[in-house]
Amino acid sequence: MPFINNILSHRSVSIVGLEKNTGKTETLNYVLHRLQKMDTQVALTSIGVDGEQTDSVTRTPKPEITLFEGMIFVTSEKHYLKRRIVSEILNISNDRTALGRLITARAQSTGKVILSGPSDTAGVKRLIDEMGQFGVQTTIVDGALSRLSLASPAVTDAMILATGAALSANIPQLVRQTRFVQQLIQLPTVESALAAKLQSLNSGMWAIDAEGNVHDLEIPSVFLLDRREKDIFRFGTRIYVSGAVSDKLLSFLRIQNRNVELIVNDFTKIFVSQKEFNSFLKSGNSIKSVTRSKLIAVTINPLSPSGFLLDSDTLREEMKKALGVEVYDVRKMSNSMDIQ
Amino acid sequence: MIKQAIQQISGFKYIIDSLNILSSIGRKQLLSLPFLTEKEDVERALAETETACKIVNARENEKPLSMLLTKLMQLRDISGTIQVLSTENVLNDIELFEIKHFALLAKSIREYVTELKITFIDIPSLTTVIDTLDPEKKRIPHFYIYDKYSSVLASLRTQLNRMTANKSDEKDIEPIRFQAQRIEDEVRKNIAQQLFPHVQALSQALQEVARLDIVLAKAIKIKELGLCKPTIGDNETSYKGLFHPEIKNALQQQNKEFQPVDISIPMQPTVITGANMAGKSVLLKSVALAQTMAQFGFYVAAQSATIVPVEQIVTSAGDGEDELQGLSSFAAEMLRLNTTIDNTYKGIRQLVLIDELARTTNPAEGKAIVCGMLDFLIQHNIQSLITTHYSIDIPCRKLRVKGFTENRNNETITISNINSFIDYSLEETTEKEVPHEALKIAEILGVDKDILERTKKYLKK
Repeated sequence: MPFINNILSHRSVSIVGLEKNTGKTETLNYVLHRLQKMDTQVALTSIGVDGEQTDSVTRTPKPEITLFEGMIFVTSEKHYLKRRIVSEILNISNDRTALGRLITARAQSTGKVILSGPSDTAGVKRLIDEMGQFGVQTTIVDGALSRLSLASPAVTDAMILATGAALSANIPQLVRQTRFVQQLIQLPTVESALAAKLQSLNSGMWAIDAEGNVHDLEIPSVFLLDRREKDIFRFGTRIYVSGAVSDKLLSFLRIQNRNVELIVNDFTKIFVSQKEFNSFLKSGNSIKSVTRSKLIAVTINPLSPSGFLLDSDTLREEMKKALGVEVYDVRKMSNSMDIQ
Repeated sequence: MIKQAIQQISGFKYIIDSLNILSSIGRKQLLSLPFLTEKEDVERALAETETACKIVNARENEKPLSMLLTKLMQLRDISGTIQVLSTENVLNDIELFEIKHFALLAKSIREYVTELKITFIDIPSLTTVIDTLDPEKKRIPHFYIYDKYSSVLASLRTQLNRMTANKSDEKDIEPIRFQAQRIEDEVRKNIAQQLFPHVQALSQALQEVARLDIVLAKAIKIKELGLCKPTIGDNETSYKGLFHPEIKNALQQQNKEFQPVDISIPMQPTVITGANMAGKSVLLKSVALAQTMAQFGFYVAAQSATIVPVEQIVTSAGDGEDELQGLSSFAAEMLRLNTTIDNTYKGIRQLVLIDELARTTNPAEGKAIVCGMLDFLIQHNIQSLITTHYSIDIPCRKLRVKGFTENRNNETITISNINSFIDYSLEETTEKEVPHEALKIAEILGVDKDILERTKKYLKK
């Protein structure tokens, strides 16, 4: 499949599920299965809600991932000791997560591990950089999309989205929702000099003046915005929000009618409805992000947890037409694994 | 311990913080360094520091030294794992990795220590430990339960791999995997038994590399701060060009100079007088700091120094208020005097540094307290420095800060340049009267003329 080559042409790729049961683990297992035949060194890690042992939404245990001989993986001490694989420890990080330090190891056989990785974005970045010393060409990150997670999969160069009937059982609606996420992932970015400045800001709202200087607007929370509406534009209309962007914030900025350029850290910080997002843009405002990733493929799971099955071919066609990237059915991918 | 000294001695934290300790175990050991009170111990520590300085400053050592420092940077604190091993527990793969990683690192540090002739660091050989954890003799710091440990394990693993490749039923694979795991556990148990006799060596190696880290950091800092190796004496502590690195640095940043001072402190009390702003407090702080540094095996901030080690440095500054204990500054100060008196009766060797004793009470009683204390210190020959603004008529050794110099070029004296009109050096004096320059200084500082006029009127009365 062509998208395996596409994965290997990026230094880091995250696999992100838009909803539970959209087939993220199947996608990951499929990708790994294909990569074992390749002659390149890959590494695997995960980001998730810190301290999570079981899936925090469904209460089911975190799935084990099948790894093949030679693959490098990074997981916490706790999960390392529970592995069902023969593997060689290469390094122990000094960073601590709630589940202990992070262990980097190389699989010596085929087997299963539970992945848990860095708990914040900077940690993920550092880890991807460190993988170079083990000859890793591509690091694959089992990504999580969560308001609760401090780590964002947007730090990876490329991204694969897992979507499906679990998100919406209506094909046009599912396509539209997935297309919206793609739009957010691929938001235009700010100039790199400014990006470097904004990256280090962890909280609050900031204004960027005409000279590119960053000023703290001293608004501790966007929920306290209303009281400050007069001076929020005192340095101009370029505003950086380091935290979550809500419908309320967008509509507030929209009614000011000032052609705001809203800057977010990455797409995972945007929790807005498609409707509000569109009307924000239509009223002459714009949204940019500090980091952006590239969507290289979408996988679909036409089966919903309630048993509803969408027509795979139609869904794939529609999705491909709307998004312009390769679309694969996870169920067909798993079948192809068995044949080999 | 150094932890307390950091809190008590002004400027010592600055020195400790400036050290570039590379390993966490080094930082940990640094904070528990003992305060050396015996002459031989201090001399040995200083000799080690001296050796380290020579090694650090020799140009031909540049390359092996930077390699050694890189190795120190990779150290992890494995004291927890050694602790687990010392109770004859079986170690898991992560702990075994830590020991292997450390043993290989210690081996390579040991080689650099030999090459650089750092003779006083004794890292034991950990070859047996390394051999136990590296059956394939690859000498890379990776670890797992290698096939080499057990031929049964090796064949079980081969079988497992084959079964996985053939997509055998999980029901058939599971028992084999279970067997393999049991053998792995057996291997871990054997390894722990083989490692157990080396607990002592591992522990010593960890302490020694930490010590190495600290002594190298000291040596590197000495040149930068311009410190000197003190001679350890018996009769008298004395300094030429004594300074206070933290204050010197602060002054430098304002483009001002720190004037170093010469002082000798015999085994008897010395009273120091001098105008306000003449640097009496800084002098006491510098003396306390130098004494502290020497007794922790550091060089001291002076051009040259002779130091008599003591068992305790007792410092008292008049403004040491202790509101938390509900004590006024006077009460806290009076209670601190008791420490000195207790020490004297217990025969504890001490250096007593008292800044402006009893200055917060009325002059008549205050002066009497100074005389009373002085009387006690003279009788017991206590090595001490006492600064005061009171006129003391008890015969004893007295030093005076020279203080204000003549304003030769008739420059305007302001708060910002006042330092350059003060001569901070000391001279012996027999005068009973203390300098009366308080008004002059108040005037320079820009105190309102009205107040000054009124004050002068009272002075004439």
